[in-house]
Amino acid sequence: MKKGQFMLIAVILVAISFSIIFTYVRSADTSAVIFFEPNSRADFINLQNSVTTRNSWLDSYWFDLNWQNRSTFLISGSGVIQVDPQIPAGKDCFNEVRVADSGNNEIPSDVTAMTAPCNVEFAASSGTYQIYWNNPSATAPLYRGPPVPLVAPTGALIRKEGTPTNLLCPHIINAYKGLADINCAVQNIYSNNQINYSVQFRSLDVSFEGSLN
Amino acid sequence: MVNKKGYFYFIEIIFIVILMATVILSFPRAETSHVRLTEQSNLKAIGFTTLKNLDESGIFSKYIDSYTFTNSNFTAINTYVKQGLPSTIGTKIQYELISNCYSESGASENCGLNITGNQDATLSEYIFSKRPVPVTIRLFSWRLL
Repeated sequence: MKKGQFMLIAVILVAISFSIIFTYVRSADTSAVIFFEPNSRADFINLQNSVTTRNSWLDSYWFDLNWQNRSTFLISGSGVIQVDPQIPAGKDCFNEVRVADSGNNEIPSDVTAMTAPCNVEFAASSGTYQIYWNNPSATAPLYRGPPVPLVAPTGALIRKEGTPTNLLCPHIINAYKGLADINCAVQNIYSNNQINYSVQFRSLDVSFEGSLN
Repeated sequence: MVNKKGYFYFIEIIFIVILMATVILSFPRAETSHVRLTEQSNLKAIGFTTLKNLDESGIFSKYIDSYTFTNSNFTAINTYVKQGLPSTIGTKIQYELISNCYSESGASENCGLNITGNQDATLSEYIFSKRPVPVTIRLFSWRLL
């Protein structure tokens, strides 16, 4: 055989090999060869969607994200009741405590002591109420009077929770850390319970750096 | 002599190419053509849209427990997801919560597809963020026909 024929055979074999390689990718989402990097547009849309839907959900879930904690009570019956939100000792009850109904409407309330431990008194009917506390920058609302006499709590404490403000970003970073150069942080809280996120998302086909809400 | 050197040189190239092709082809196979790749992209989009629609219609909020994930109604979620897709598509649902994965029945399992014979599967992910701790719902889907 002549040199040219070997060359031709080699070129054909190389071409065939690369065409075969090109048509194979690894399972699920990860490409086996560099030609088929996964399309990450859908993932970025997912990220954007998660931020938007979370802000929409927070509107009905949390009264105001400047309050770091809340205690939820299930009230049976109607009237003025007192409950113990189990606020840690030393916390400011007089300035910081707020009560909201299930629709996140603020309900006028009083407290039994200036600082915790304190009970909270408010007019309620059967349903779920939340006592918010832990906002050092809050000042006493106009309706708050001097501490009321302490009586036995009458509502059932369902749960105590911390703010969900910082829970989405770690989830997003964990979900996309292998797919893109990702960074996410809470930028600021606006309109009481809406969050601006500072997001950086860089993949081969999507490059974004900015705020999402 | 010059011709012989050239002969061995090309033989070497051919062997190297064959060797490389063999190694790369030993990866699990998902696609056999560009058409299939497009199909896979379509499946991914269908999966994402299905999950998004279920969230927007309040299904996930209703059946995924806000505080204790394992108390969710997984049977109801499975039913809604599978009914939202054509019967020609096979599916497997997986949930990821704080780096722990749960099967479509709510049992703890390793993250990933973990089913042999379904290397064609496409992964659609949806972050359900309407609960204090978000959950990623993963939908593996593949053509049955």
